[in-house]
Amino acid sequence: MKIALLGNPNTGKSSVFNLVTGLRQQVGNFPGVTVEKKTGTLQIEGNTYTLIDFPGTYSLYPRSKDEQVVYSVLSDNEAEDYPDLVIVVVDQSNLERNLFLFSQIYDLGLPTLMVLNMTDLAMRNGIAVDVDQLNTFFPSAQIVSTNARVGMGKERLMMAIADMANATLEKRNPIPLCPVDDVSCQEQEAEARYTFIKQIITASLSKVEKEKKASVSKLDRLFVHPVLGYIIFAAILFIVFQFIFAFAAVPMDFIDSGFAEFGNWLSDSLPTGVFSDLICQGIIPGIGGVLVFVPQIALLFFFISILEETGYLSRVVFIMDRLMRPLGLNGKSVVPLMSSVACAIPGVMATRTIADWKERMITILVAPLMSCSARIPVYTLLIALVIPKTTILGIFNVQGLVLFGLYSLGLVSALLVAALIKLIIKSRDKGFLMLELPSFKSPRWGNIGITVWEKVKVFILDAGKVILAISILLWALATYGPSESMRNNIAKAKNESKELNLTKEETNQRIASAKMESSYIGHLGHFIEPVIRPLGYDWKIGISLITSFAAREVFVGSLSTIYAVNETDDVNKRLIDKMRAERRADGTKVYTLAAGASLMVFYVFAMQCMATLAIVKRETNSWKWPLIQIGFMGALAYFGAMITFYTLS
Amino acid sequence: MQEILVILAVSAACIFLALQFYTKFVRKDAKCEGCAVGKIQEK
Repeated sequence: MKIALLGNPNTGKSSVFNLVTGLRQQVGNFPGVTVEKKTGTLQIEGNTYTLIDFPGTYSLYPRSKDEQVVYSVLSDNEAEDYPDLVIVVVDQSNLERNLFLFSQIYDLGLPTLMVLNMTDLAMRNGIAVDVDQLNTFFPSAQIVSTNARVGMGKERLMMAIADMANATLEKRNPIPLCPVDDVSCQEQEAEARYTFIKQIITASLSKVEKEKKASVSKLDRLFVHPVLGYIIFAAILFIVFQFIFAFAAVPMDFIDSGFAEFGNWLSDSLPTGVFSDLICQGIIPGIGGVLVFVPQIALLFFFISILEETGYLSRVVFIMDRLMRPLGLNGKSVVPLMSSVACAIPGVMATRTIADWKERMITILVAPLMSCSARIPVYTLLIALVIPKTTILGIFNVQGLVLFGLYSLGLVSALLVAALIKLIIKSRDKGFLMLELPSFKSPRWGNIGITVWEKVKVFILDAGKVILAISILLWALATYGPSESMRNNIAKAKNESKELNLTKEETNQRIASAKMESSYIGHLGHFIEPVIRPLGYDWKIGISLITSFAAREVFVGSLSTIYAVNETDDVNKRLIDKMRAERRADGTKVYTLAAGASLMVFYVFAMQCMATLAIVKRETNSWKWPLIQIGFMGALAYFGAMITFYTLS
Repeated sequence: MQEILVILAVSAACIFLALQFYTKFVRKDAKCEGCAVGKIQEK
């Protein structure tokens, strides 16, 4: 049996979804569009139900691609996701507006269950609902009160679902719904509905003594203040990045040493041979080098979820809208840009709410400049490598400060590039941002846990598969090469070692380097080296730049594999130690402050993400825009990195 | 034996990456007719 979960935005729909499905969730797309579709299963009295979480909407008539999904599914009983039962989550503290959507869905004649959520907030706002009285206006529906954020009402809701599954519908006298493109009919319908809703409110709602209202508006005066709002936001981000570096160190060391131990155990246990080398030098370092960053990604999403759960993120969207208008961006661009901090793919997809195509295009073009979570492994590796682990004024971690700076650089460049593109592409209409500021709530830790788990799972599974494949390929390319050239180079290295009276260890290292240089990857690396030399990189970094076009985090996995193949002494030495020891032919360090900073700047700007490019191509329906995006982001990355390198050299 | 396993692993990796490239860039997404911004522009 299929159950649709519907409701206005910010009614706690996700909390209800998590409450009844727990971790039995799957993420996919609605057929026909790339709008995210979350489905979950629940078992009641031995029966299995599938719950589908639909995008939040204020009415059945769509104004964006997300809302179109609700209309398309409910208006077509042949649709794949057409439900047998609809659950509408209603914010009890904002009943009048929420009843508009509910009454429309009820009038469709589907079995409907109203979840009266956020009872605590309603009480705090001095609102009490007479549920029995409310039910008399919707006799075929069942009404259940919940406070899903704190886990209240789960049993009642499950019982009601089971009841509704077996219920027969009573006869209704619906207010007729209108054709989707007949605006004047919809206006008349809205008038009729609000007259009906006013009767319901008068009969069912009563005012009780208010609680804590004053403190909420005082907080909002601070958070959306034209000056203080930005200072508070910057301070919160600053503290979050400090915490990410401080708290992640212990679990990262644990994972790092765990992989090293595992690698050593495998080297000792497996029989000698090329496949064992592939596992120990290719796969284990490649995967381990990236998995070590899971704690930092989990921490970032943990903090972002807290900001979202408390309602603070909506205030950020509000103040950022004010900042963006003078730069010519639509207020609705704020949500895609903020989403892009997690990942540019949902960010680009979120631009569908922007009606004007030029404004949407600008937002799509600059969204990947916002620093996404895939950049974290690259940033943190390079920061730990070239930035000293010291503090300023005894409390501010310099490494955390640099991470904050890189995120800020991404945001500022996105805004400046948007302003620049806006000068080139003139926009006809001015967009607007319609945003509901939800009440402040204490975070629901279960929801935060589910969000963090989902994000980490996607990082490990999606990125992990690509990293595994690229690690295998890189290992093969770094191990094999044109046999003639490899033989000559090894013989040359042996002769030179003999002439220079090198120790056995030095000789082995020289032979390994000669093998690597004459491998296929060595040839390719030397071929591209003239292009990347002005940025301060050697050919091994160049190879990692090429492979990380698939996804930014592949950079770390690629370096791990390349250095592991080149290692003669301890294959499972930490990547950062190998990078610190890396020297050029003239004996100078490869990873100087200038080269490290140049790499960081390169990754702030470069469009190193195949999946984002594919989404941009699909959203724009042409190759032109993704190619323009690669072009201008590549130019920014190249020249930004070059300027950084020469300034710090 | 180890050589055969290496050839299999490398072939699987190549096929996987090629498939990823094909599904992301080449294959027509018939299900996404309505999602392109180009359509809005055409209107």
